[in-house]
Amino acid sequence: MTDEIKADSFTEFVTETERTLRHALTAGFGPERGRDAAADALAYGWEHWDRISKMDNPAGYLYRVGSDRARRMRSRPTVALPVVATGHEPWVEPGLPAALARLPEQQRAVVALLYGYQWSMSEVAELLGVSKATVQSYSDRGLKKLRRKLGVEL
Amino acid sequence: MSNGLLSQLEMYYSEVDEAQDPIRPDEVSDRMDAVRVLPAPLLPLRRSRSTRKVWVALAAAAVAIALIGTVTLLISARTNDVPPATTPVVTEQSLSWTVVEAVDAPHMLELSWVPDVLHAGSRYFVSLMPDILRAADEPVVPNELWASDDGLIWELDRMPVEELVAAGASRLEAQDTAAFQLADRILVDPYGRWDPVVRSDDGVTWTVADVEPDSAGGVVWKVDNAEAMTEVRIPWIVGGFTPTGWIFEFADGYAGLQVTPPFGDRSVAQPFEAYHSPDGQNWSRVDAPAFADAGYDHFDRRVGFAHQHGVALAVLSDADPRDPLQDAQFRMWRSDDGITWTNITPQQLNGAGVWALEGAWLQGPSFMTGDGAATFQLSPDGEQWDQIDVPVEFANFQGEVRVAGNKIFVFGEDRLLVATYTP
Repeated sequence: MTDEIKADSFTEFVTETERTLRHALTAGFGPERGRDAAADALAYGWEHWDRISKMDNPAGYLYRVGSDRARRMRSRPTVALPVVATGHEPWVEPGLPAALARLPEQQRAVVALLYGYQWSMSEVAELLGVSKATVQSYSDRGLKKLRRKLGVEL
Repeated sequence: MSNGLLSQLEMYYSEVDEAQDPIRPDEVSDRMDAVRVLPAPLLPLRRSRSTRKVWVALAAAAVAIALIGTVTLLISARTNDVPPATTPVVTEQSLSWTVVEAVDAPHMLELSWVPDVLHAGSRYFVSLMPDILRAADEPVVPNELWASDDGLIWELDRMPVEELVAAGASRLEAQDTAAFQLADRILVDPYGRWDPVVRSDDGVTWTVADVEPDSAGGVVWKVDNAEAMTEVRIPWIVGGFTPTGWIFEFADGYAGLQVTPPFGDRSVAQPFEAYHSPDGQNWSRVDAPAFADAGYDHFDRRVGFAHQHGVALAVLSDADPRDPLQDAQFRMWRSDDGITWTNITPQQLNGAGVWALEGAWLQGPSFMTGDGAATFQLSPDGEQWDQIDVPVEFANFQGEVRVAGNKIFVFGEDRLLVATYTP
């Protein structure tokens, strides 16, 4: 692969995938750490593009890379999920960010992707590298905990 | 609440998205250095200086206390700080099973926990690590470390939060009689830093171990400048982000298995790459034809490893995400020396609902494997397997299963069950 073709190929990949990867990692790790990890993962993708471009699911692989980076950021200062601004209409429960933050990583990611970013079950399963049944399980358990924490009904 | 939860999630993440800038291409290039792992020379352990200061201060304090004759008072105060030991509740005593509700911890419902168990020396160590360490930019809770001599009475220790956050500890390792908590993957970052490792000989008192990577790849870690702790994952993580690997210790050396990336990279289609080392330091790749026919097509893959009494098992299960109702394909390999691996896939386990090897437990020639807490299989030889009855407490128990020593540990959302099985 020539440098020019490689660059074009990677640029096209980033155009198609950046938003997906950023959303997925934001869902799991919050806006700041998730975005940071997505950028790191893309940089890693560029450095290993010859190999990664041949994969069936390069976005899924880079999601794993980004997750790895994000987990390793534990010891660095992080920014939690943003608080809900006041004055919203309709009103968003102020306790929602804290309740989301207390979910396990995978449950939070699935809940956020399915209901926050409106992904399909198949899209979530493919990127996270799990079955749809697993996605459903994470979703059920995550929503159950959120409801219990917030005292809400669907 | 005026809106349903799902609507609120949609609104909330819509605002998060609006507030977040897309990643620009120049940002990607700016990060190139950050994703590389720098080779040697390695800088000293980041926390070692402060740790030494702490120890010097503690030593000075201890001397002063001894001089003024308040040692007794100190011991008394320390004793008062130690949480009381648990009172076990034997919930089932049958011909084959003894089940103990060892830890009833309703506060665990507040978070999900990642359990780990090991048997080091004469003690059992159970570590419960919160799945999330921070909220609102502050640590949420410390992880909990329970220790027991018999699996019945448990002592709880809560490590200082700051130590655990720094350690990023997510798993336990045993070496001789000591237990070590360390990050799942220890990697030297571009600034020459790495996560600390903490050790304990009794499960109650933990200190930061004096650890240095022995090479740029970090194959061998020297713990307290004494014996080597091998870490097979590290050399292949560098530049590769390999998900996992394992080491088995045999009488004449070590076997290492590395798992190849799970996301459809067909250029590395084998599930395991086998390595061998006579001393834990010098490793060479082993030609293991038994693994050659185990390429994969699916995303959903789980691996399991177990090793006791000189026999190692490696297990791989594949599920097709396009058909979640289809049973996972289950494969198993065995090695008695770390060099030769034999495919012993027990065909009767395919279709039996067995999903992964949660642990193997060898009593004499018997193996045990489980699928969550619901299914246990027993085998006299590793090849012929029979499902055995499980304790009533395990039914519908959505928990994680670990095996250590001669006990099975089942973690639920709010309790820990310890079961002893007598074949």
